[in-house]
Formats: sequence, C-alpha cells, structure tokens
Amino acid sequence: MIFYIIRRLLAAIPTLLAVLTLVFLIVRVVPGDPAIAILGDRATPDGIAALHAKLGLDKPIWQQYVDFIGQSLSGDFGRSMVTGRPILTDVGAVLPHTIDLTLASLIVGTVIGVPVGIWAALHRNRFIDYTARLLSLIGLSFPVFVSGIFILLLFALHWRLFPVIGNARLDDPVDRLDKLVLPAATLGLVMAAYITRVTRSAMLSVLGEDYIRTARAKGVPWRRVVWRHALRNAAMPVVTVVGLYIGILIGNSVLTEIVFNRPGLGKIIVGALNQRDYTMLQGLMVIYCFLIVVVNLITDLTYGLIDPRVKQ
Amino acid sequence: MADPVLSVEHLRTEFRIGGAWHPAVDDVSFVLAPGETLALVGESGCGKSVTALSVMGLVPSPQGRIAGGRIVLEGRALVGLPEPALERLRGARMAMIFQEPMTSLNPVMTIGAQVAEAMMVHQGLSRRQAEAKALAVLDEVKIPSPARRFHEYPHQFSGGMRQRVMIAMALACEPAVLLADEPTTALDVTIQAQVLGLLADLKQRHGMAVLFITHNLGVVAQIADRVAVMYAGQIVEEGPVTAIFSRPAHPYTRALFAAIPRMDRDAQDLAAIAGRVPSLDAMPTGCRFASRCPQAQVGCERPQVLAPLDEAHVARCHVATAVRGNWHQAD
Amino acid sequence: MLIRAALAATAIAFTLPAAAQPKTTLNVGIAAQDIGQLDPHFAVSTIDRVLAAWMFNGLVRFPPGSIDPARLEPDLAESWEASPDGKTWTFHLRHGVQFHGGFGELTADDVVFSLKKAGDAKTSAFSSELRPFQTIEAIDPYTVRVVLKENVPSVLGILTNYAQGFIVSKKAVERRGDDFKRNPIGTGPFAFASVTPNQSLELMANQAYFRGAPKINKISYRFMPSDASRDLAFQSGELDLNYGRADQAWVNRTKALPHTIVDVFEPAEEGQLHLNTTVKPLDDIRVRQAIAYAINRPELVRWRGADVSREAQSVVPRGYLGFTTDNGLVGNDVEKAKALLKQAGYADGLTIKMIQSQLPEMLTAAQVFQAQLKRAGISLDLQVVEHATYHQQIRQDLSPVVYYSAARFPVADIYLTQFFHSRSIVKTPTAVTNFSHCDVADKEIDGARVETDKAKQLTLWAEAQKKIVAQVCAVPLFETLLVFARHDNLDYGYKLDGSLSLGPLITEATHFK
Repeated sequence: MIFYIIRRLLAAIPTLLAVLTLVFLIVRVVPGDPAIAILGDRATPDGIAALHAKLGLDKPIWQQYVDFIGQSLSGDFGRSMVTGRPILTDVGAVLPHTIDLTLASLIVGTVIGVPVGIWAALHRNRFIDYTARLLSLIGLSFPVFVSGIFILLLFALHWRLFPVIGNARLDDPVDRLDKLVLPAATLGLVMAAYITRVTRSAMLSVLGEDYIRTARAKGVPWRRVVWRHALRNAAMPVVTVVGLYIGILIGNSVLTEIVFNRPGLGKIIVGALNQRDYTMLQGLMVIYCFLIVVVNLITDLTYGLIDPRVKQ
Repeated sequence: MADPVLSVEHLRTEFRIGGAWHPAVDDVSFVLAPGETLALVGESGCGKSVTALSVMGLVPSPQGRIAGGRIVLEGRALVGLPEPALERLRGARMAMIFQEPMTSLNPVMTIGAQVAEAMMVHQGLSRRQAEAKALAVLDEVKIPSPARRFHEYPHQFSGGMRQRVMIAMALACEPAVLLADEPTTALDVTIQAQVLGLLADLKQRHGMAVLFITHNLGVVAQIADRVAVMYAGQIVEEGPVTAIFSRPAHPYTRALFAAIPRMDRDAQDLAAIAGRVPSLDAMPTGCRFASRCPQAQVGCERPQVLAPLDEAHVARCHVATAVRGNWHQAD
Repeated sequence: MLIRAALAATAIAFTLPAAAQPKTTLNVGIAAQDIGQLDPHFAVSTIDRVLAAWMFNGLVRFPPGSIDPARLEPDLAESWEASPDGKTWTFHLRHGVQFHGGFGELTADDVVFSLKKAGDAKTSAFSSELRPFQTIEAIDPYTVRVVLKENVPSVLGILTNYAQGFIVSKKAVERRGDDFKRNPIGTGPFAFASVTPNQSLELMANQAYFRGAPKINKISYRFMPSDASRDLAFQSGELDLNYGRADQAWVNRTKALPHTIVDVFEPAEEGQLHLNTTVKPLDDIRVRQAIAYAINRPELVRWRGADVSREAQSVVPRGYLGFTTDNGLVGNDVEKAKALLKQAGYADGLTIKMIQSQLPEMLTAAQVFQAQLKRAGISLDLQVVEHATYHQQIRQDLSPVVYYSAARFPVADIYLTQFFHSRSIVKTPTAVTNFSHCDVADKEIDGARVETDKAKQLTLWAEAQKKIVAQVCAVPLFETLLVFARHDNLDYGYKLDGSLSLGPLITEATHFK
C-alpha cells in the first residue's frame, strides 16, 4: 500500500514537470508585463528595465526556465514578484482556509446530495424525483456570486447570524467554524446539486443492472436490494465525480472566496494572474497540481475500498 | 397428468409504447408438471423471457404490467399478490437463472455472500449457517475448491464458473420450479455442454420442474420433455419433444428447423427467415407469421387458434391443422 | 442547537461592537485582492496609495482634505527658503520626529536617503519626477539642501506627502533591504503592524506621532474585491469606511442607507480619447476633428452620473494649476463631423481599431462613446482584452485610438508632459503615455516648466492646451471623481474635498463620535 502511494507520487513527477513547463511558457506568452503591474501606468522604460533586471526577466528565456525548474525541484518556489512575500508562506497562510472550505462543502454536498439522489432514483418520474431534479438544476444554474450574495443578505444582514467578512482566525475553532458556515453552505449546495444528479443517474443505471434483477429473483426484499446491492455499485461513479470535483473546487472556489471575503488558493491564483505575477503563478500551479495528484490518489484508493475489481 | 406445479393460463403481459399498452405476451397458457422440463423456444423478442419474468413477478414496472390471466404456483395464484408475498416465494419456491453470467452477479459482493443471501432471507439462517450451506451448494455445482473461492469476487471467475454460481444461487433453497432463461447462450460450446449436463443432473436429483427458455433447438433436444414454440407473443405450437422434432407443423417451427445448421453460431441467423416480426404496436389481427409465411393463403387474415394435431400436439395454423400430414411428404 | 446559539452569539458580538466604549478600531474595506507594495516609492495602485498616506509624511503636505497646491503647509519640514534664482532650496526639519518601531529620530540623512531612493529607477516607480534635482544634501542633522538643474513649476509639489515625496527611515531600509517593502517604517500617524495575504492589513496608532497620538487605535484595512459583499459588510456594520464606486446608482442607493455619508472628492480622473496622429486614417486632421465633433460630453456625464462626474473641458483636468477653458475645444455637432469625413474622403464612414480593457467601468464607457461616434459614421472596432494586456499593448503602439483615464499631481506640467510631450511618445526610450505621438506643444510645455514668471507660465500652458486641442491629439471626455462611503459616527477631523492619495486621510484627529 505504502509502496503503491509512493510509486504514484513518483509517477506524478513527469506530469508536474510538464505542467511547470506549460505554466512557465503560458505566463510568458500571454501579453502583459509584471513590471507595468508593479510600476503603474507612469512606468518609464528605464524603470521597467531596472525592474526586469531585478526580477531576472532580462535573462534569456531558457535561462529563466532552467533557473525556475532547478528552484522548483529543490522545493524553492521563490517570492512573489509583486509583494515580495515568499510564495510558500502565502500559500501556507491560505491553504487551511481552502481545505476547510473544500472539505466542508464536500461534506454538505455529500450529506445532502447522496440521499436526495437515491431518493429521486427510487421515485423515478414521480413528484419527488421531479422536485429533486428541479432543485438540483436551480442549484447548478445559480452562479455563486448570486446565491452567495443572497445568502449573505439573509443570514448576515437580515438575521445577523453570521458575519459578512469571512476571514477566520485559524487558531480559534469557533471563529473558524462561524465563518465557514455560509460559504460552505453556498458551495455545498452547488456540490449537492451536482452530487444529486450523479447519484440519481448512477443509482438508476445500477438499478437497471442484471445483478439487481438477480437479487430480486432471489427474493431479496427491496430495501435490502437498494442498500446491499445497489448502493455500493452506485458509489463508484459518485466517488469519481466527487474526486474530479474536489480538484476543480480547490481552484474554482474563487467566486465563493471573493463573495464571502475568505482567503483561499483560487483567489490568490486570480490575483496573481491579474498582476502577471509569474513566480507566484508558477509556484501556485505546482502546488495546485500536487494537490490534484493527491486528490486523485485518494480517489483511486477509495475505489479500491468500494470495488474489489480495482484492488492491486 | 399429475397436478401441475406451475400453470399459466391466458397470460397477457403488456408494455407501454408511446402512451398505449401493447401485449408482449398474448394469451399464453402452459402447465409444468413436477420434474418436467418444458422448453420455450423462439427468437429474441418473441416474449419468452417476458413470460418467465411474469411468472417471477419481475416484469419491469412502471413500463410493463400483467394485464390478464392467471399464474398458479403449487396451488397459489401469483398475479395480484403483494410484493412482500412474492418476495417470500421468489428464490424459495421458484428461481430463475439468467442468460448473461458476466453481468448477473453483483461485482462488489463475494460469491459466498451472494449464494448464502437467499438462505438467510428465506430460511432465517444465521450468516454462519447460511455460509456453511452455501459452501455445500457450491460444491454441488462442481466449483473446484469452493472453500477457497468462497470469498472471491465474480470478476475472478470465468463465464462458465459464474453460471455455476448462478445455478447454485437458484438451487440454494431447493425451489419447485426453475426458470432458466437462455442459461448457456453466452458460454463457449464445450462449457455449454458441461452446464447443460449439470442442470440435467441437478434437476434429476432435486426433482424440480424446469422452464427452459432457448432459441437453440439443438439444446432443446438434449434437455426438454415438451416444447412450446413462441412467435410474436403467442405460443404457435406445443407438443412433446419427439412430436415437434419429427412432425413440426407450424410453418414457423418448420422455418426454425430449416435454420438449425447455423444456429449454434448466432441467434441472428434466424434472419434467414425472410421478413420481420411485426412490431408490438402493429400486430395483425390474423396470423402473426403470415407476412413471412411461404404458405400464406386465404384464411390467414382471420385470428388463428391453437388446434390439436394429435394428442398433446397443438398448432396455431389453419392450414397445418386442416391438411395435416401433407407437408411431411413435401419436405 | 447549543453550537448554533454559540455561533450566533459570537456572530452578534462581532457585528455589533459594544456601544458603551468609544470605538477605536477603524475597519476599512477596499476593492482589491491584496496589497501590492508597502514601499511608498512603489505605491502606484489605489490600494497601496491610500495606505501609504497613513503611514508616511513628506517635507511639506497638502492640508488634510485639500489638493490645492497653493495651500501646501509644513509637514516634516518646519520651514524652508529658496534662493533668488529659485534653484537652491533649504529645508529646516522638525525636531523630535520619531520613526515607527524604535527606528529613532528623523534626521536630514533620512530625507536625503529617501529622496535619492525615490529618484532611482531601481528603487522607485517615480524616479522621473526627481529628474530636475541636481543635488540633495544634508547640511546638518536638521537641514537639507536641494539644488535644481533647472526650474520646475513647483519644487514643493515634488516634496509633498505624495508618491516620491514620502520620507522613509534610512536605517530601516538599509537593515531590512528587500524586506522593507513588506515591513515599512515611516513617521506617519499609523504604523504597519501585520498583513495577512488576501485578507487584511493591520495598522497600529503611532503613539509618538509628532502631531499627537491618534484617537483611532487600530486600522484594519480589508481587501474585498467583491463590490456587492463589501457593500453588505458596510451595511452590516463590519466596515466603517468603504471604497465606493463612481456610479450614480450606487451613490443614490448608498446615500439612502441610515447613518451613511457618501464623500465625493478630488482629484478627478480625466478620461480622454488619444488619437494616434501618425497612422491612417487618423493622420488626417479632418478625421480627428470629426471625432471631436462626434463626441457628446453632456450625454457622457448624464450616463455616468452628475454627482460623480463632470464634463472634461481641456486636455488637462479641471482645477490643475495652468488649466484653461479658453482652448478652442469644440462641442457636439454630428453634421459637421459628417461633413469633415466627407471632405477627408470618407463619405461612407470608416472603421478604426481600438484595443480596450475589459474592466467593466472602462468597457461600458467605451461602448457609450462608440455609439456616439457611430452616429457620425465612425465605427470603433473594439478589441476587448484583459486589463494587463491592454496596458501592455497600448504601450506597444498597437491601438490607434486609446481610451485612457488618469489623475496626476494637480499642476498642468505633469499631465501635459506625460501625455503630449514628444519625449513621452510610446515605444521611445523615454516613453511614458503619449499615445497620440503629439509634438505640437513641446516648446510651450518645456518653456512653462522653467518659467519663473507665474503669469507667463500660465500663458504658456494655455497656449500648449490650445495647440493640442487644435491638433486634436486627444478628445477630452469626462472627469470622474473619487467616492467613499462612511458611517456618520466616523469623523475625519477635517473637511474632505480632495486627497491626492485617492482615499480619505486618516489623521491623528480622525475619531468616532
């Protein structure tokens, strides 16, 4: 098992290198100059040249690449070109918030989405099913900056149960939870909508499988058919989707982070992109990819727990 | 005939197509005596599997329903029985084996658990007791080293072995009736013979009645006592296996025999019969085979009834039942 | 239930601070992802500039709430005198001014070091502003002498509490090196305490501030890029001061909130349409004149809102020293525009490319004047790109028409030089933001800069504006003011008419009522 994990992590290194190269190239191909972002609209050519020299952007591009790869491999992601803060420090400061939000919305999404999806599948084409499908469609079609603001209006402004500004103190569990509730609910509901749909369709397809008919032919009561025979089989596609979604969630929770004024990885990525903060973007992408690799690994390990066919 | 263990009378099972109900099984009747094997023969889509599912109470709902007729198992009428009562009979008094062994077993449960499940459900055995019995059943269906394989999963078994597991599951509670829906079709020819042998063997030992559904007349000859030929939802000919094989009367049965040399290859070879089966929502009122029948003539447009050819041999063809015997010479 | 109650309790405790004690923490919401540079000589974005003015002083300052260059008053310098030729200036420093964080008393060394740092392109984004300075030297610990290469319109203007004029601690810069831009040391009423990336920056009152200890103890400067949720936080009381939008609907809505004051103040950013006079078809002055006639300024102001904007009247923003309305700027006349186009050979109209930022504020404005030009038969082909891309591409001379909005130090010289002097033409070694390749007023701009006779100087600047307007190097559009909202219990301690730091100054006198 441990060897398997280590092997998987090692196998991710070429992927990481490819991503590093791609990010390195893309940030430089995209128009825009970090020096202008830093020096502002009055930047003079000599000012820009001086800054380029300081940031190492005057070196030939291959040399920048070699330096960058070398540093990355030695675990040194450098400093932000704009703020000068070490990238790992910045990421370290926001990562707990990102993980909090991701896990919390994952839990909210699963706790709501899985039962509702099963329920809808078992009552296919009846009122319950239509309601669940409609609600999940609404959940998916409302952008977070609409639903989030709406939630804030209700809970933060009207009832004053939670704060608008969601930057929690990490050392205070109550504060941390307090500020997690609304964003996790917002993102969790979107996730729940998604999981509901996946669970419903997975459940429906499993219920149409031959082995369900076999189980019924054995005289297994319907409840037992659902819980013992259908559920575990339906779990595979759900886990796949959830795993994929976590990857997306880590980077894409930016809207939630902005609306609820939470720090987070997505927000840093967007900020770095706007500022053309090359080093920051590069560092963030490496860390982001690493997170994705870890999430995929966890997903794969979960497969092994659910489906005997996946065991090594 | 002794009291039948299963009798099906005027069974009509319908499916909803485009808002209207259409019969997939239309006025099907047959009886099954204890220890007897009745082969239900016909090409895919003729309604033979739906007939078996109707007996089991497993017609997919809400798109399908039993619209009429009686099904009596060991003196108990099944149609209209509530689901829990049916559940108590399924797997206990009647059991079914399906065509596709690769997909009919639950991939995430061990073989042992799947075989033991029916006994836990029906006989109220503890897990340990059920597993001990399951092990014996697996041994009976000749799974090599069953104790070792007991905790393995279906993907670790070959097709033939999986079908043995399916048979073990069906036999676990010693049912009175076994419905075998094309149990060997998906298997290699050599494995087919082994499984058929096993089935015949078990049937003998347990005294079950078997409804054997197949499109393969070669298999029928090996295993059946009687044969019922289905076409487009109706039984078109029924009789003892010897009578059907020596004197097939209905033009459809005859066409099936004409296709035999190719039948061990593929069910699709039945397309050798020109034309198509009429679709469910476009059934003619007269003979359903008329459009493909080389002997079609005046009178075929009237509804056809099962008429006797000789004792225990009936056919649904006004031509065959009127001038019986003439065609044998013609062949 | 218990957790919920506890959560609710903490939430309420957070949102409704106890009323009994006077409030001493100021919560400010600003529209940005994160702080950029804390080194005041690199503070170019609004978020950085607003903050720098709370932490640093200059030798002289605008009185809080004013941007009138005629009212400059002592800040770190107590007094000063100039030589008769105006080229040598001597500043006498205030005694006993202490730097934050125990970095000791401010001396002439710090001032010399700061100005030299601000004048070096490697350590400052404003180095060009100090180009006229020949020497900067300390005469004694409390006296600094500056000698100019040439006359400038306002020596004091360069040395205010603005951009290049901020004084930093020499010891702190030398000791902290590159780290200074993350942990700055100044002399202002508030000292940097900490920053949490993507969240907020905290300032503590400088108890040793030379004008007295501030009444506000702590400032929490929160980075909140979402306008909607920043507004909600302001409404819920989590923010006392909120970065506003120059949007009439927003102003109206915010004004209607209870206990809320909306401050609209100077300097205005002037938006202009810069026309590249060297490329077809804009090299034909008739085409440029047609554009000038096609623009309808009153309509632009109606669109933008009367409280937050006003018509631009010259190629220099209103109120800047040297600004004149007597410049020959034409009004809206679509028929004349069409006639001019016909003369130029474009009777059927023409299409001109324009690279445009996707920032919503800029893009919607562009769409409004695009529609105005369309009425005269001029199609503006907007090529919308991401903001950083826009900034780079317009500097590569890729957009024949550039919509650019800017405020500068309120003296005509700087605006004219950066936008209309041939030295500032983009893609030249001395480029700044001359997108039009305008060079018709070089003589007047240069002349006015060194002119010591104030009246003559004004005449030269007026002449420069006339020539630029006549050449139609740029078409002035509208000016947008700055907008902030605060709760009425926050008293700045002065009247806010303007702020060169682009945000309200928080001074030692600012307090909660």
